[in-house]
Amino acid sequence: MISLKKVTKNYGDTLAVNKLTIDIDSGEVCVIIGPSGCGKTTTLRMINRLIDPTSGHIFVDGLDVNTSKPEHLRRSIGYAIQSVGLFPHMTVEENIAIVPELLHWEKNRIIRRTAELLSLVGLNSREYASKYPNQLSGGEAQRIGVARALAANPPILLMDEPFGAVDPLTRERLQAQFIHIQQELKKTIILVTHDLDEAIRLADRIAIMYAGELVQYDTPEAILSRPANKFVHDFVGTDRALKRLSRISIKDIVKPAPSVSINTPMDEVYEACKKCRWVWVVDNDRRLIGWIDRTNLPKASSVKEAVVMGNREEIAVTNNATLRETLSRMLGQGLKSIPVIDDNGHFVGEVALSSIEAATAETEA
Amino acid sequence: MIRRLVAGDSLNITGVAIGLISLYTGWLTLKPNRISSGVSLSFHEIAGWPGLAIILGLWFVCFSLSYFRKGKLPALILGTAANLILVLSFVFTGLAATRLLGVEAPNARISLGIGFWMTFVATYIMIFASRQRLDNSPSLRHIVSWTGVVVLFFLLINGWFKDLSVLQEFSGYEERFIQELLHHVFLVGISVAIGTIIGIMLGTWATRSKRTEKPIFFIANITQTVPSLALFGLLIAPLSALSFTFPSLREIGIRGVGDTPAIIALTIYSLLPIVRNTYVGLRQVDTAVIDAGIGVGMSRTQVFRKIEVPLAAPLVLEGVRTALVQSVGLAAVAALIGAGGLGWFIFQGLGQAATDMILLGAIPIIVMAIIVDAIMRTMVRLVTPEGLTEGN
Repeated sequence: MISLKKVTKNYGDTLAVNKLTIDIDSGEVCVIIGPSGCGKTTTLRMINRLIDPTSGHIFVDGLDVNTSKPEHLRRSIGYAIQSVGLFPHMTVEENIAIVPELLHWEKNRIIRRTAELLSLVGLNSREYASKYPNQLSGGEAQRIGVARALAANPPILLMDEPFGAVDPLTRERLQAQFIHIQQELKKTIILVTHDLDEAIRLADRIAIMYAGELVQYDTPEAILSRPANKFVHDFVGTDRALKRLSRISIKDIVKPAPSVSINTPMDEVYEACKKCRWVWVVDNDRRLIGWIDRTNLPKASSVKEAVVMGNREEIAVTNNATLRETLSRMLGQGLKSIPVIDDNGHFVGEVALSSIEAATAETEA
Repeated sequence: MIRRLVAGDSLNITGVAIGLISLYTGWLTLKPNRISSGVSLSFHEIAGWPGLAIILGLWFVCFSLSYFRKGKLPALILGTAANLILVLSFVFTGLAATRLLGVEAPNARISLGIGFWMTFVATYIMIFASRQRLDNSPSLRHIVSWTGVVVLFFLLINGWFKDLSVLQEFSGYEERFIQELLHHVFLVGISVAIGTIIGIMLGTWATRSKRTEKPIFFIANITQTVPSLALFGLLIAPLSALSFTFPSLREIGIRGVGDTPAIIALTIYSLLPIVRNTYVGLRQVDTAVIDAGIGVGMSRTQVFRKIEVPLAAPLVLEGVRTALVQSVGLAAVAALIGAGGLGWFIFQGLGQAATDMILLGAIPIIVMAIIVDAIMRTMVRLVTPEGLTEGN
């Protein structure tokens, strides 16, 4: 879909990008990563011709980008940047509509598309459409930035540290949403970041750059387990086993676990507790509310008396969390197993330390 | 600290103090003729003891209100009292002038003294204080600010103050006054219009390249430092030379003296604020916003038209406002090189040592500057994009 052939860019004597050759497949997320000044942003900006290469060729869909007018090329490639760059004098709606308007879309189509995109990035269109950028939080602005990039439904998306300027918690959410949206849209995405965890989490392939050269271009798993040279080895760090965990979603290893409801008779609870020390307690909607410790059972006459209530968000992980977050939670709280809930708080099952071990052993192999 | 000790509104108390002092200084000057010096009359001599009592009473109200700083009602009473003092001082003065002229010789002149002007200032301090307290209700603020002025305007056109010397001076020059007033507007309007066009172009050009930025600002800054009188004078020689060499220029009105040098000088003066504000206005547009604009596929012209212009417009207009207000004042000097305008009265008055004639030129210039300022402020508000005003 996108190929760079021996692309070089120098500014006077400094070589920003040196004979870079890379192919990015359709529908893949390629994350370019490297220390600052390694040429990653320059590479990204050459693809939509914000920067012209000194030599070499860039092809999009087999067509040399130099053959089309820069403005026309850019309208067919989504572009989102770290500082977002929303137009402060335009509403959210007008910001998103900018490319469709440049492409002379019909008015109703633009309105429909704007509403569609707002709901895609998880914002209520009635509430947000007429807001101005200075009324948005950092995370909301980022999402509008992504919506604007997607507005004309371009097959390719270029993102320059799109989650760089927000707090870690918001970044976490935006990344989860990014994965979700990408599963739905299957765009070809080139994303630049300096955050290795982000790269490992989002990428189908990671391109590691150093001093203008491509050092390694492979899947995250391969990069973590077989670093091409010392630079990559040092770059991914000594905790690469841990980093690998962020590639695995809880969804894939969660196992069903016994649970009782608040109205379950006590003899059934005893039965459930025979096999393990804990049993999870849910309410009538199957939403997790706490747990019962087997040792408490003799003192109690009903589930209500035996249950230890807990805040759902604090005691459980959601099923779109990564294994890495989950493990860190379990180690932090000294747990052998942790309950898993879905986005609505419904009990899904549990993850035990032993199944995490099994999963890591699998990827190691 | 002092404010806490006195426990009152210090601004308010200052205004009251000025107002009270003004009642015991010369309020009106009675002169046997237009240019001789005369005798000074204080407030009770023109308004009588009842008049003085009324005004003193109103000042007392203002004074007490400086201790009631909370709520809309005290602020509103304060504003009303201040407006009443303003209108009543004018009315007493106007009536006194008519009465005194009846007794004195018809050539006598009654001009406003320091006391009157002090009261005028004092009432505006009170109105300002009242406005400050009414910060969250714009409509009441406008009422407090403008009621007195509007009442005075109606009294003025109904001839209540016709026996005051400035207005006597006016009645002697009515036709000329209107002519010079319009000419003043013409000089300011045409030069700021030209200045705006050139200024925006230069300001934009300065942002486009480092090479142009320096010389443009160098010239714009230098011209601003040349004293106005000198600049007007400096233009006489080259322009006369031009019009002598090319008689055709002379035929279309380009000469060493008159409107041409005045308009050129005023245009040059209006350049700096407009160039500067255009430059700053365009420069302050976030580079990320421009990068995003180009990145989504806008052409350079589209970025300029759709992003840079709307974002810079408020600042550019702010520059035009500065240029306009400044030119209204500077245009007075144009009378010296034969361009006319309200400055004509000022220089004639200076020549004849006739204070009233000077005021006949000066007061309208001040009023014009205030009006232009208010209009332009409204315009700036109107062009400011909504997204830049709501900071919530």
